[in-house]
Amino acid sequence: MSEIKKKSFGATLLGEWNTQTIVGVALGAALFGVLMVYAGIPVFTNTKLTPSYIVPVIVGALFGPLPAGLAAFLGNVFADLLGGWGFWFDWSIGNFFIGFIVGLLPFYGAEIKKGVFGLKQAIIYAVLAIVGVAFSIGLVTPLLTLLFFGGELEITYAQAQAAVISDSSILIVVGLPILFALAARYRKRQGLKKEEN
Amino acid sequence: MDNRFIIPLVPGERFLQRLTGATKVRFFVAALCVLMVSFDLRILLPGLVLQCVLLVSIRPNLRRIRFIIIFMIATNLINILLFFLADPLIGSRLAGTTTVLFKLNGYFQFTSETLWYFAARLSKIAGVFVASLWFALSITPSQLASGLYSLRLPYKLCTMVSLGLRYIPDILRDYEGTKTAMQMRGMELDPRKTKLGARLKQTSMILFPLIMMTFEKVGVIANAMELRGYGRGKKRSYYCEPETTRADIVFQIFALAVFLGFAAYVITGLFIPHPELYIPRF
Amino acid sequence: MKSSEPIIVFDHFSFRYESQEEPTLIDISLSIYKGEKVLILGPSGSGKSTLGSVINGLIPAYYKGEISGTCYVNGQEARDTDAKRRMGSVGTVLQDSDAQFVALSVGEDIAFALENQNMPRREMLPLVFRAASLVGMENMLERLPYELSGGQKQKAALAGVLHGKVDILLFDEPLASLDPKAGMEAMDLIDGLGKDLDVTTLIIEHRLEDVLYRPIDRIIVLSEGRIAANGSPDEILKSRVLKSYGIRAPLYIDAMMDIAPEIPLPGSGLDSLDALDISAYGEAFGSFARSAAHAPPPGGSGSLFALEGLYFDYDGTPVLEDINLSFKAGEHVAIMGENGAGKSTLAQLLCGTQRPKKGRVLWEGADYSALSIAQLAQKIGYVMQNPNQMLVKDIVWQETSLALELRNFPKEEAERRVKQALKQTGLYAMRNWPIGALSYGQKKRVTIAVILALEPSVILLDEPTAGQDFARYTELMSFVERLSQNNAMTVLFITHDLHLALEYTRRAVLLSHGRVIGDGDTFDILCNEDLLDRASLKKTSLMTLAQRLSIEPAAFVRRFTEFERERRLSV
Repeated sequence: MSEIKKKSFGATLLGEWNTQTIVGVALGAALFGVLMVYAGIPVFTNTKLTPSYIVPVIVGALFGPLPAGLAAFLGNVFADLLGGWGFWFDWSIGNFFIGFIVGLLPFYGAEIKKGVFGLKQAIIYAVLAIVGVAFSIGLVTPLLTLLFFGGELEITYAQAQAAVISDSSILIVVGLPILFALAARYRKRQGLKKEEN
Repeated sequence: MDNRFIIPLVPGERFLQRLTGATKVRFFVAALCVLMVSFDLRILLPGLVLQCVLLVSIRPNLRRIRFIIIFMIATNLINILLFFLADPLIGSRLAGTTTVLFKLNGYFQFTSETLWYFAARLSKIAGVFVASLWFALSITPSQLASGLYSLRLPYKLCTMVSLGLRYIPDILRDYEGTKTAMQMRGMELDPRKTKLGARLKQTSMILFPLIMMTFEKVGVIANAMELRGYGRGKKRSYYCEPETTRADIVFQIFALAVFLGFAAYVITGLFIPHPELYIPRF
Repeated sequence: MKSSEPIIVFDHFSFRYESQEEPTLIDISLSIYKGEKVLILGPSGSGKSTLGSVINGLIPAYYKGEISGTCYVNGQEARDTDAKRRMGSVGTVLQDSDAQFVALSVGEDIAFALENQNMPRREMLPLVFRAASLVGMENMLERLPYELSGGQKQKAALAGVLHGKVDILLFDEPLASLDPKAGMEAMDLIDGLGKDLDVTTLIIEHRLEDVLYRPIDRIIVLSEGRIAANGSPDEILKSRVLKSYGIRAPLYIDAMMDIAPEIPLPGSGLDSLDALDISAYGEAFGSFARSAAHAPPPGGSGSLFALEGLYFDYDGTPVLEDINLSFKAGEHVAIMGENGAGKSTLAQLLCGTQRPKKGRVLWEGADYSALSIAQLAQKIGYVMQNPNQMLVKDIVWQETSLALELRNFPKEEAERRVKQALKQTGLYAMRNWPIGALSYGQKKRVTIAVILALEPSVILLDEPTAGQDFARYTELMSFVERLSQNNAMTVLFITHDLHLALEYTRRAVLLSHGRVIGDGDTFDILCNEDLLDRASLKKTSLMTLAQRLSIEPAAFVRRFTEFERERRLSV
């Protein structure tokens, strides 16, 4: 085996901007948009229980956090384009930060493509999911909403909190089984034996 | 296939739709900046009217957008009602003055500031919404990419936009196929018949093969692009972009003027603060 | 036109992918000359696609690995990582035409290479039109990818690599996603372009007979990373080496060699049946066709389910009209027709994922509209084309039992059924294996086990052999055959593979433009030239053989298929 080059901190953070990454972000964003529009369950005005946030996690695992953030941002813009309910950059930008934070997987040793995703990574992932969503939708988005549209702080926050709770729980409840399953699918197994009985 | 989407895949025939992507993107960005930052009804209202004129000019298929319009109106009215219930004096707080028009009791009172505030907020949101709608209805994904590129964005970023939109119908088809496969396995997808917990579990089961299939494609598509020389040059041109006409130039100058005016407004605001909310004094 | 000047030279060339332990190409020495038309033949995993990647420069620009020996393509060394020049002079058309079509209209996709060169649009337009005219797509420049057939997408992809000075055209499995008639058109186009543009043409394929529809200068057979044979079509066809490398020889060659081994094959022109002198075979084939054929196995009894006056449309565009069909228990039926004929919609209606807009589907006489998709799945099991779309669990056993768990089957019953399904599919010994460790064929078998666990009376296989080479095809199909014999199951195949229909079914239903145009004995239907033409199918070379010798085609094809089948089973 040839030696595996250790990527620098910066390179891991920004991702490699080769054609693979571009296609990965594009397809990730498309999947994000499709899930947001067609697989969501509305729970509150402006807010949906959507599984689309799993997508930047995968993009992050494969290509790094910045591509993950971009996939979430673009995916939100796509959803706005598909649904036609207008562009809401306060949410898209918030999603960029979620994508970036949940896409940090390569930094804590979660290497899905090599089948590495254990309990340790799961715990870090869960913490990051909560922190990321709380920071992005709980802080960035409401601030932007206030900046762009003004409004009543408490209600904007109440709506944001609802989104924080639903999105972070989706990331954990739906995301964790998928991450474990993906890692298992890619894991190389040795010593598999056929059992006749 | 495209009839499920708002964004057209084939350029339309109306005047606005025949403009270049570069013009449409510039015009939209200028409009968005003004609508998002200003709280001045004297600017917002003409802005809203202009956006509506643009939307009407492309004769949108009403049947397709009716639902979205109703949904937006309902959501925003509910929001405004919530705002009012939470803080009836919200406008007065922002303007710093209180002119009571009508009093229900000590808490619920209608002030002229709050009314102006709600009017401004509504025309802002309606303006952004209508602008997004004409923009989405008049630009194709490829023109969107070329328009963004004309704003000096790196073309790799622009490719993500058009490529992503290109594969959305394919991914949607895969999503429905996967859902069908799980229904045949015996999954009950009717939301009325399943509890939330079970549905979350179902969701991860549907998502898993969908994610596998989507990211399986990345390598092949990247190969297909590289083999045709993608990513080698520093610059790129666009086949989809129509020739620039005089109308494009007029629109671009107008957009630039609006943008510069907006920038001047923001910059002067740094030295002499504009009132946050415009309240007419009679 | 072939010249003596080599354009591609491999000399003791080996390549190992960075991620793999073993080299994929081993000690390749090979010269290809300017203007030659070469077929690179080999089963899956033989390294033929890797060879293509070396030639078009994806190796080493994109896939990293270890190279030894030398390879020159158009004067450029393979190790030269500046693959730009090479990619410009080698036009590659990939197998997956959907993935290759990255733009939103035909014109834009053809222009993609020009866009990447930052060519002003004004200069682009005539070039795009010229390239589109070369492949006959000049009237479709505005079309969206979603409205195109596989063949049209492939033509657009081909036009997209025809700009500038192209010296080599490389086709990676050009026939994989096309129906037979579109495949013939593709081979015609490839042949014509090679001559008109005076380029070297390389075709990577495993479907030999379909490629030979137009003349080939040379065939190179790859096996396990090495060159197994390299010669003119006559030499390769005569040598009988193909079967041992997992390649199916043209059927007419098989027929000539197997029915009348005592007659020596004609010395030349073996690659084209039309020009071949076969008069020597007349007598032998005639008596062969008359010899007693075994009675066809019973084709089931009693109507199991039926479609009555079925009609379906998407947004007012009819896709299926006036479909009346009845299926018996234990029958094996091929449902065939061109892409877009309505085959997949028919499958969706049968499984209840779409419901008819007019007409009824009757199960044992009762209308099925009251049954849910899940309930119907216990009657008719649908095996999707791509196994990855169905597999959601980690372990084989869990995957197979999932459908029973979701239906709340009692534990013992579920266990019994899973065990049986896994035993039938030969996966029982691997029941605790992770899905990720399985090969493509094994995954495909898991999807069948998943269906079997529900014990349906009908199993519906969607293009079961798409994209698989002959060895895998045979493995999968003989498995399906054994399975249905043991269970007396009704098996429906949705396919445009004529061989599959002839070898494994006794009844064929032909669809065209949403209507049933033929329904009956497979041999009668598939030897009816008029019907074949309307369904965009291509007649088999066995039929041509019989026609040329004035033997009744259906009888000859039937007899030969049974003859081959006995040989297959006796091995």
